[in-house]
Amino acid sequence: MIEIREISKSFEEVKAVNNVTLTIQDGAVTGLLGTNGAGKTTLLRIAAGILRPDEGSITADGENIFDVPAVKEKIFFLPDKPYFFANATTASLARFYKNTYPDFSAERFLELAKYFGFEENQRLRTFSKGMKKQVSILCAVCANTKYILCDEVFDGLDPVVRQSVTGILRDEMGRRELTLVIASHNLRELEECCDYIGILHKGGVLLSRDIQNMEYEIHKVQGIFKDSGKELLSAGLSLVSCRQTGFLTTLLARGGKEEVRAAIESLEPECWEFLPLTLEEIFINETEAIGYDIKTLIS
Amino acid sequence: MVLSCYLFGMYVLETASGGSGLLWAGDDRLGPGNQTVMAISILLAVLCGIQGFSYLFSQDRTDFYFSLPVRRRTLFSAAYWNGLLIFAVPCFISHLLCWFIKDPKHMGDSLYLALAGVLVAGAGFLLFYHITLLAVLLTGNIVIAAGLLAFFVFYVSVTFGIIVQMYSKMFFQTFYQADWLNRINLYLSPLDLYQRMAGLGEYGTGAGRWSLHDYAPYLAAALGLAAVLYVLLRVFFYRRPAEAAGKAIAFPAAQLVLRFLFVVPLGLMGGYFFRLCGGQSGSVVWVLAGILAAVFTFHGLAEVIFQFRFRAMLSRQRQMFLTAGICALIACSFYWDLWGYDSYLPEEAKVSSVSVSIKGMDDTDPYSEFLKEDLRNDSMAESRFRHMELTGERKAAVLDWIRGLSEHTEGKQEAMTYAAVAYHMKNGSDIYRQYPVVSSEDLEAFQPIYESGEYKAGTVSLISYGEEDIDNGYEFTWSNGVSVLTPDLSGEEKRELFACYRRDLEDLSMKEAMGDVPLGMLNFAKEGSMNGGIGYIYPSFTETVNFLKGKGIPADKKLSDYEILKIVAVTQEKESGSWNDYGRVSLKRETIDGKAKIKALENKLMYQKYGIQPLMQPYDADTEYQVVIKGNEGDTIVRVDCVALK
Repeated sequence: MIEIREISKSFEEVKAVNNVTLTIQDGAVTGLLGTNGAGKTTLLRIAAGILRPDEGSITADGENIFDVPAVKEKIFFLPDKPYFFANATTASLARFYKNTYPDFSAERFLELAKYFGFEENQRLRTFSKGMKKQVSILCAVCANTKYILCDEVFDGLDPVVRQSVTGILRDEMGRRELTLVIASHNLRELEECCDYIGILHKGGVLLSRDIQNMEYEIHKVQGIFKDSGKELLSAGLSLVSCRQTGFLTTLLARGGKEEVRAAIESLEPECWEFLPLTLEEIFINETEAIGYDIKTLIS
Repeated sequence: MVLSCYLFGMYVLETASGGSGLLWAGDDRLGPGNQTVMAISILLAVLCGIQGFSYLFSQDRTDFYFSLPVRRRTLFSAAYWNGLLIFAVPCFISHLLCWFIKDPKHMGDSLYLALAGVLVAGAGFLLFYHITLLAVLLTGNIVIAAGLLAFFVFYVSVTFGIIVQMYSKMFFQTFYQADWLNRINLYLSPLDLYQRMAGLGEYGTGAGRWSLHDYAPYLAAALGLAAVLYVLLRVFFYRRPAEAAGKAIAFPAAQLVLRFLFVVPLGLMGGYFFRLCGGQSGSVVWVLAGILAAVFTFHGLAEVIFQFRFRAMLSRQRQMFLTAGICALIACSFYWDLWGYDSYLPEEAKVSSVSVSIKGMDDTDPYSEFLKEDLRNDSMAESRFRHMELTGERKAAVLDWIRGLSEHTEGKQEAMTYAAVAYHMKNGSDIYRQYPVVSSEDLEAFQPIYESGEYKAGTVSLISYGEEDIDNGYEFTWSNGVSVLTPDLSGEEKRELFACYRRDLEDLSMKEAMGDVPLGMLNFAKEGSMNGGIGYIYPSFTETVNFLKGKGIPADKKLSDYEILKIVAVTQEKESGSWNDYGRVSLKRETIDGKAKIKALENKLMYQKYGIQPLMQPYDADTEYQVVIKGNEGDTIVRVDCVALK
């Protein structure tokens, strides 16, 4: 695992990362969420051994990362804008990474590249933004590293390409033990794949949660009620939001599940059911509890 | 690599063709003194340095390289050695090819030269390569890196070679030159060091003249400097933060140092120029005002460059005032001579020998109106410092004489001329001063020194030649401005003439030198050349004159002994109303052809070149006389350029 202990990093007067402590679990997908300037990229660059932290320590499997090739061989960093050598082709890229990462599979890389329609001798500078990102993800996947750090990997991609990228990563996770860290400012992008979410704000970690095992005190209910407004309030529900579409009412209410159930049943609706929550809806409760509006933290 | 091969290929082609049509080159094709190779070495050093580490200017590329599972030192070494090999391999191969082409017999001497050329080019490349890398590592922007490179290359020569010298000349009355300044300029200025290491810019160097023994100190200095820089480079590369990409300066501490180094010399220069505006009697207020204005301007400029925004011009004001304070301290130390420069007189026990050169006395290129200009950069003085060694009693006499002159520096008397002095110290160093000569008493006091053999040996270049030159094809040429004759002498006769001249010179008194115009001149040079030792023949040189007359040379013939047909006088007249001292000059011509007028003038005239004692025999330098003399052969004339004694 990657252990981040009290990491701080400043750029002149700006504190980009402020005393962050976080653990990246092995074999899981961890999302780093936050707006622009929250410190996500800085944290990833520190984890990739690019930046030297001002304070604190960061280790992978118990060893320091910075300037230690044996540890960095386990980490592949995918930046927001991937860089390739001038005149690089997929074939030359395969040769380069073969010499750099000991477990890099050139054959698999070229096979996948062909599968996605990339010619061996085609110059990468002629590729579109999405194609470049696909190639860089293929490089990361074929490097067979234990950790892949992705910075805004979905940013700027159309839905088709985004789906193909997600598919590649999901398949890889199914094949071997792979730990993914994905930084994004878009909660919806992370929703489908993350096991853990950390929300960063102004260089610090606001909260960090295990999504699968999270117990939350907010529930979404949809149903047909006799007289929505007044009777819902009279049921003693603490409403976060309430939306009426024709006869259908969809509401978010705080409280334990049984508590909400009892309150709803007391209203004797025509019909009703609990709906699954989105991450945004879950975090509304979490962030409001510590005095933040989720909408200002994510886009 | 392609460019490197192309450039060295051009060098090979140029050497093979024997011409300089493709690239400009010095006269040393094979050895270290080849200017084309020097230019290529510097160019490649800069290009390889920037190209190999240019990724440090881009955030994306820096992240890419630093994220790879490769040690920082490996990243550094890979790019470093790549640049080195791009230069070294074509350099070595091209020199070997040139040796093979230029020396079909493949002699050892020429191979030595070729390898010496590789060694010097390699040292020069390393020096400039490391300086370029230093500039790249200290910055995150290519334009700033280029500026910093120029800053490093020219800093020493501008700061010490120009600014410190300017202050010294302005405020130290006795400043001539400073050996330590020259050494700093030579050893710490990369261009000067490379040129000196290659033997460029020195008269007489060229193919076959470079030797490791003579140039080892410069080579060692270049390699030593390169080694120190290499250590710094390794440290800076390891410590360089990845986030420095795109910034002006990569290290905050470097900003502080660079700002100081940049602003201080420019601040002092501002003080200097303001003082010039205030005139010679300008007070220290002018200097301080100039410093303040320059420091404000250049400190602001540095901040704008470092922070990439104009509003930064007014930031770090405390540092600005501190820098201005330091500049003011330095300037005041010159203004009030807190260094004790003008009052310095060395202890006699510490002085090995002394050399003296007085402007206007035995002067090789005299113009009397320039007597009162100081002697700095005077080639005559430089020659005397090399050849003259006044020791023992003469040394003591000179030191006494100088003590008298140095008292004049405290007063404001106008100088008649200046005396440049070199103290050759026992510790091997040389200390230079110049002193104003304000009165004829000062000159009279110089008489015992003037009449010494050691002084004459340092001023008369003829007697610096000796036996080995006689055997190496050197010959005498006599001239008196009208005729030039070469006596046909055997080796024995040349020795005899030398001996006559030395005896005559030894007996020459200062009074005779002041009173008599030379009759002629002896030149001792290689056959066919006029560049050699010169000695003037005075009327009192009876042995020399008689010897030459014995060989049919009219050594005692004066200008007035010739048949003068006419004299054309050309006078320079300065037009009035000009806004500066030089003004515009017009030439007025007058032809003098009446016998009486010619007779009245002819005894005052002397061959222009014999005006070597303008201090003691002042002449009118504003008027040149072209004397037309009847020639010896048929209907011929000889024109002689003369000046008239006052």
